[in-house]
Amino acid sequence: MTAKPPDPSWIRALLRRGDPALGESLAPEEVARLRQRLADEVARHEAPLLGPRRLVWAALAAVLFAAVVLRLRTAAPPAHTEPISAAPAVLAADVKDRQIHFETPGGTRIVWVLSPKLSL
Amino acid sequence: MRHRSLRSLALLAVLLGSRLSIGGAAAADTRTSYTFQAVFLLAEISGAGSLEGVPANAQKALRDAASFLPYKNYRLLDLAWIRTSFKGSARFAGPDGRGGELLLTVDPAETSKDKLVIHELTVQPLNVSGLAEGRPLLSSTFSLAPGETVIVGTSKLDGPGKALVVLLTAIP
Repeated sequence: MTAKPPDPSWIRALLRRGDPALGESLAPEEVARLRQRLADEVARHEAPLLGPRRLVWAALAAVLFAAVVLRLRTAAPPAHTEPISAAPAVLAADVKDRQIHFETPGGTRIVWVLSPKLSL
Repeated sequence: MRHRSLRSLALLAVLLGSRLSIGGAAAADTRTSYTFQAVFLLAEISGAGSLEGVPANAQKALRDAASFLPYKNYRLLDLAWIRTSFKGSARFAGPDGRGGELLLTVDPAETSKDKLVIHELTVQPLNVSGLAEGRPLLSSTFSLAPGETVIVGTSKLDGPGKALVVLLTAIP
């Protein structure tokens, strides 16, 4: 024995009774105007971003841009092969101690020296 | 006549002598001596610490600064007293048996009754023969009031690990 599906008409009637806009309706021509406007907007947004002509121009611009970039890269001077490594080594040797002076809320003063070469 | 010149000479000698002694006394009075207590600690970021043997004033300063320092473990290395009017030094037993020397220079021109200016405080590592070895572990300039304890520490730039901490107190 299967349960009989509920009749949707009484649900519809129940919802209609509670609808605050019951009895208010737009004029048929107003409804048609709104529907047309909605359809137009949908059609406009669904149109392709680029038409065939624009697509060709975009492809040409991309190729041109790639060619210019390639040309600039090949024309650039060769990578610097000189040992820049000497500079960091000198810098590391020149790193000096850093000193911080501060005071705790209790009034104790602290002088702290941060040393790159310290070994204890 | 002869007696008069002898008396004049004697008077001159007395005057000169008294002036010299007054000048000497004045010079001695201006050279005030200052006493410092130095507590040397090795601080580590791990392990259980003990402040046994650390004087109460230094313990108080260390407790006050504990939350500002990343160290959990403090070990007393040595204690020293320095009395000087200008330059003083004290040797201490450093970590791993290596010794060190604390050199302290008071700036007499800037020092007053309420403020002792340490023109330079340097901690120099020593080799096994007791000679200065390498560059100073720390070098700083600061001032402190009589009775005040200043914590002077040094650690590596790229990580705390271990630190040498000197608690310097100006004894009033």
